[in-house]
Amino acid sequence: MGEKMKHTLSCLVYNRPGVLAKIAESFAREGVNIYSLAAGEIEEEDKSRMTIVVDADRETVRGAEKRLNNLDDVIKLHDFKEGELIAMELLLIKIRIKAEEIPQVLQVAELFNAQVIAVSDTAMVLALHAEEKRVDGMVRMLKSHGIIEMSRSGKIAVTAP
Amino acid sequence: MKERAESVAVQDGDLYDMHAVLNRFTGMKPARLVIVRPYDTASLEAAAAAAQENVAQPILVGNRKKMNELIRKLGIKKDFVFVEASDDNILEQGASLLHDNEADFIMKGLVGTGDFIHVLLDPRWRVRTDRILSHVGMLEIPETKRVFLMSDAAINILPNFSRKIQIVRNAVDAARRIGIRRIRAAMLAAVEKVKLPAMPATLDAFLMKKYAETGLFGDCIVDGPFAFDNALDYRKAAEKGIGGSVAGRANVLIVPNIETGNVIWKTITCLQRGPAAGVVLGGSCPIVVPSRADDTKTKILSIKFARLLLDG
Repeated sequence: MGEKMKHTLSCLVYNRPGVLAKIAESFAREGVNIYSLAAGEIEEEDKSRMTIVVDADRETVRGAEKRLNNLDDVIKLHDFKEGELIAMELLLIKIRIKAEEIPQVLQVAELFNAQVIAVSDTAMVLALHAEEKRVDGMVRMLKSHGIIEMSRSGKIAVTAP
Repeated sequence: MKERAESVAVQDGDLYDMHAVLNRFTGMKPARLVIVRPYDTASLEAAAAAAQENVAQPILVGNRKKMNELIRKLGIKKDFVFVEASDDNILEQGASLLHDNEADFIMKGLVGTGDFIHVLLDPRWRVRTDRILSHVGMLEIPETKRVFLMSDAAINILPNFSRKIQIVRNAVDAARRIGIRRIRAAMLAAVEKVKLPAMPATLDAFLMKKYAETGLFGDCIVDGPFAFDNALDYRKAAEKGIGGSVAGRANVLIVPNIETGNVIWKTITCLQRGPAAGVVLGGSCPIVVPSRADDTKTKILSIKFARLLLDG
């Protein structure tokens, strides 16, 4: 068994009921945990692109890919190598407002080019769209300031131009 | 704050009548004012008036022949102290007078603000402190003559929240030093509610209000966001149902960016011909950085404002 690593798979599928379940099952049968999955329409209305990030060794991923390629709903599947894709994630994170920590929280936001998109007397919501590592970095830096709630979109990607 | 001989109208902790406020130094020892490159009418007339009124002892730094010619042409009958300097090192000469304790504060004449500040911030002159530099203007409401301070219309272009903290700190400090007893600082924006992401100034204003609750700025109230009229005119604030002790009664305005400050400043000085004074704070002494377009009156008032802060 080879070394486990993150793989980013782009899966072009027909946009019809049950596709997501079949794809999830293909990974489950190979014992692969899906790290993140983001799906949405593309330029052709009847098709969707799923960007799936899995953490597994190459052989196991190959097994899952074989299963996916056998599905009628899957049009095209690609396992991206580093440098082949432009990928980003969206993060929404709600932080507790402590008056004395406001400057530091805003400095973190500025550092990562995140935006405050909502605020109340007790909390503020920051939004960041960035590469996964930058999203990880901002989450790490905000941890000590009191994260109330957080949601990550998972990676979405297109091939590099 | 030292007691002044002159009486200044004080009501609800506010000051009234800018000229009365700025003339409170009468009888005090004039401070030594370096004026770098005073090659324009307004600078020289302001220097003469400052000397005449015992506000300051001007020290004119530049080409002596050139300055004397202009002084003669303007018919100024005043003896000045001159320090000869060529354009190559004129700014350094001026700064060195501060450093050597031969002057108490400094003003620029016909010099670009950027160059002037850049030289002053050179660590060797020890003008720089742990604070940032920010411009604080003094203006008055024409109808009531109530005095208010405004910052920053000249130095910080689009300050982030951290810089705004320093701007508030310098402005509140100035308000305290000129004798405003109940400091009510309004964070300006275009509306009174936080609007995101369209109006980031409203967010900074809202968060500054919260941050001020930590007590960092001492005994003062910071509130916002406010539109300009609702910050200064209590009738307008009341009409809109905006409450709180700052609404309509602000005596310190913090503008979100340099454009806003510049427009307020020019509206008052250019359209209303109202009095205005401006000083850069955050350094080891007040720095008078008038715009080259400012008239003599504004330059004199700015010198007086700086003098007052020097002693406050």
